[in-house]
Amino acid sequence: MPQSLSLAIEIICASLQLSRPEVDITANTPLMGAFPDFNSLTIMSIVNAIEEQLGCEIEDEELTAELFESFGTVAAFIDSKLS
Amino acid sequence: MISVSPKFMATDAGQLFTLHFQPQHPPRALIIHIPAYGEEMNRMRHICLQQGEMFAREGYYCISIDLYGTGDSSGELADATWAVWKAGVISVINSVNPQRNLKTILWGTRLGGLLAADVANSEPDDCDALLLWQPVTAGRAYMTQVLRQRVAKLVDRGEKPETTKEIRENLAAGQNVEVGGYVLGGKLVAEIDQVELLNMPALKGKALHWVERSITAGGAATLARTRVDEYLRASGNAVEIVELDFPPLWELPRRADMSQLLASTTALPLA
Repeated sequence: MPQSLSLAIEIICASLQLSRPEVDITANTPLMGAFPDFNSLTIMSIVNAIEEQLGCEIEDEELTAELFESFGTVAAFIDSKLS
Repeated sequence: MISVSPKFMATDAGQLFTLHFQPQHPPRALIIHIPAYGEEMNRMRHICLQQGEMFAREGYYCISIDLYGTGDSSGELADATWAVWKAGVISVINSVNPQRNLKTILWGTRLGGLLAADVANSEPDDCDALLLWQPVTAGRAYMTQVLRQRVAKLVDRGEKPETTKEIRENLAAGQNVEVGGYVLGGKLVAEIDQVELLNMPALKGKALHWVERSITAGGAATLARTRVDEYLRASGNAVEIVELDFPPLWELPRRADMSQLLASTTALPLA
């Protein structure tokens, strides 16, 4: 599993308070709309965690609905921040 | 027997509320605790109290400060500035350790960690070592996260959200802005935006004890911390990193078991 996907899963599961062994997650696992608890506070928590982990700053303009479509789209965003 | 006593101290930053954890015997060192910001401070308060008591039992004299405009101290948060916060910390040190007979350790939690480091950077003689609990490393990124709470609240209410850039513009224009129940003023936010752990040359040579929560499997360091760690070591700092698996207590509305954090911190060779 790529490091960015692994990190995305860690961060999203922590934000949604999901226990990883209980859910089988791949890059294609949908995110927004798929979890009842997924709301603006979850998004804030995920974005904050990415910033703290990578030491980067994420601009408001970068926060689009497409970013939170799936675990894979979040992983791709992390990759873009690492490059 | 240790003693725990509250005191209002007259400082250059107004009347500050302080809690004094005093050991039974003459102290081995002074520890000044600088708390986190906003709700993070409230959520961490009970654990910081426990840590203060444990420090006192280990022979340290620990003082926890409520910064100007926060907690039980005088002033309004909207009128607080970073400079006033720093002046308050320095005033407390001057008051209890005027001759610098005691080694002074600045213990900062979250934003308090950044403030502790900035005090040590400005007044290197007032600080012998730093103890940082999950410190904020870049003020601007942290304040963006704080301001995002307002954006999220507006989204949840179905109101037109502002961007954090627009909120900063309003603050810069002199408006106070309410975020998460706290009214912030523009000067404080603008000052915090400028503070970075990666730009503190006078920390050179200071001992740093850095306690961080690991969220990645296997306890890998965050890239952010690795970068700061490399900078500090390159500047000649003795950096001790303590990676622990503990819940993010600054985010938790309820109490959690923090015995590992407390025990590991108490065991650090601070002085």
